[in-house]
Amino acid sequence: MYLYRCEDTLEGIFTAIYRVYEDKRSADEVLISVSEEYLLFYTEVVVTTDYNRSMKVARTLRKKFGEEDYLFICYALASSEEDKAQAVFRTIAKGIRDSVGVHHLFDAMADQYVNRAYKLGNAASRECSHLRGFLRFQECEGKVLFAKIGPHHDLVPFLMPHFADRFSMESFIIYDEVREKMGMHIPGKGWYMASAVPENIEEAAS
Amino acid sequence: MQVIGYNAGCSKELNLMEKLGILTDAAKYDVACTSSGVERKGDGKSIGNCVSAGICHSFAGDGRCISLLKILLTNECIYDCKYCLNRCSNDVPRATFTPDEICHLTMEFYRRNYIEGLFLSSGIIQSPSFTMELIYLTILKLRTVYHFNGYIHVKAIPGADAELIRQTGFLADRMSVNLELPTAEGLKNLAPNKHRKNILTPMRQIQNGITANQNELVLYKHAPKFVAGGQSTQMIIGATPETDYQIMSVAQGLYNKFELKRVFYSAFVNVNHDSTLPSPVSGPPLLREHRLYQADWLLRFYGFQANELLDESRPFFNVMLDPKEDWAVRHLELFPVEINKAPYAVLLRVPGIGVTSAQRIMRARRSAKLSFADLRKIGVVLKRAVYFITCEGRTMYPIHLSEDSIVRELTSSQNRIRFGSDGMTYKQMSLFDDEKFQIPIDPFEQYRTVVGQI
Repeated sequence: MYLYRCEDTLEGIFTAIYRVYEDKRSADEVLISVSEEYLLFYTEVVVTTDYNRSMKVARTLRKKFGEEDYLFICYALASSEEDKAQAVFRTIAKGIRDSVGVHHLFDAMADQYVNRAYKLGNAASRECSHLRGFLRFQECEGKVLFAKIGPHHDLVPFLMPHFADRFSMESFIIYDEVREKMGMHIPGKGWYMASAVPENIEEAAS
Repeated sequence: MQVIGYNAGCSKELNLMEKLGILTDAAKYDVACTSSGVERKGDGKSIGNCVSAGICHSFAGDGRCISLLKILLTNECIYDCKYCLNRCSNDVPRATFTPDEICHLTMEFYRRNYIEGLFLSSGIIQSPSFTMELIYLTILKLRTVYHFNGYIHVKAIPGADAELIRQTGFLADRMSVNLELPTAEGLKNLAPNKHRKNILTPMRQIQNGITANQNELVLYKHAPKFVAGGQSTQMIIGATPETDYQIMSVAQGLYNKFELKRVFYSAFVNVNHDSTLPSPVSGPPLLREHRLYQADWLLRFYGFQANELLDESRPFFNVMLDPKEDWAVRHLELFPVEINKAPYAVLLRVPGIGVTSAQRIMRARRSAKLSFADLRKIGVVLKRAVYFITCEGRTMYPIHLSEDSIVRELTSSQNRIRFGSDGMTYKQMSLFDDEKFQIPIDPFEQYRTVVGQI
């Protein structure tokens, strides 16, 4: 039994999935974990995040399962639950083994892992819709719009494209105070993520 | 910002906040509050986009969720409809917005993500065409001068010039005309200035415009869109003695013949205490409104017809059971349904299985046979469904398939007071048997109705 320990980021988990398939292990004997917990009787494999490999996995997932299911996988991995990586990994493994095809990755809701991954993705997606509706901006100096949120899931990367499209002519910042990250948008230049410490917020606004 | 009202009759100066207070309060009886049905990306030159699911943003004081800035252009009105707070014979503070004020308010709320868009209605000043022209100029300014690209829902004024309505349709995402009352006689009694023909004509015009526009778009992808979000309408419930069956038949006719997107039902609130209007002891008929919305969903998403739910001999909805359960209990010969084999249309008719659950069942059973535990995971409401389904030939518990026993299980003990003297035979109750009988609506049931999971 193998335990693949990876970083709690999208790229980290995708790299772990790449490694599992590269090492040609069967899905039943693998556990992917993002936490630091030690488990008896497992051979540990530490996975260092590799951006290129994670992008390869992302491309393959998009091609095999379609954009919508890929987005749902990303939502599930934005969760803060510990078993998210394992649930998503087993869902993908089942999808590849059964050749489910585009848009059918989450069909088999009777399977415990698919069900779990679906529930995680659904919770994240619901919170994202909720935030889209209830996030409020306040205007700061220099006509910059500023919003502060404290979500359960890591949702700033999902919110930025929506608001960048809606307020394409405005400068705005969305600050996640739980994870100390923020997304910034500048008209004409697109949006990008940055890590933020409370003192830097006022500077960033100007 | 101080502006004087349009009509020379009222020269009181009001500031913007006071006007906003009066005119949003006056708009609250128009219950259309959705912002769905239009998908439009931002274009980089204007502010805003539309998301097809619509995004709920705020809660009104009475608990309704609203996503639009819902205002009246003016609450001055030359008509005297008996049910309306703003009728000309009432003495209420009157106010009027200028187009710039409306645009400014909309833009500032939108930038701060408080609203999804604008809902603009109006009282009638001078004439329907004059009012419609003011509305048109406001929306034109919002789109072209302020570059607003978000959602706009506009009321079409019955009796206004057809060309004005047509031009407004190219700027708005949704247009609606209030039917006010389900029948022409009701309308004549309560709103003598409004005529049925004047209301149906713009509805037909908008419907034809939408169809013609869809044909144009097939030929030329970048043709300007006409009322992309469709049409809706609103009916007042409880002000006149129409039966539920009549109301549902009207709604069905509107969906079929006018291709409306939504019909809204508004429980009558007796604001004027007029002697010609009913004044129910227990307040506005909220349970009746709730049942009508449930039946409306059944018509639109579950493939029911109005005459399946109600008929001449039973023209009112059941108080204790929702319309779907009520139908199922009266048609026990069609049950139980085998989950692993039944077609989609049959699954939809099982109480406890909504559109989401039925679709998930269809997808899940392609790869595995489903058991009751699987159904629970999928999200089926087994508490209700269990009397009507089998999994692989077996029901979950041994059930007695009779009307009395199933209804006894489906209704909770507090509500089970309408059984005959032997405590066993169930008598079908209707809403008008006992006016004082009101069940508070379970908020979960209301939520499930809204998301289509009855």
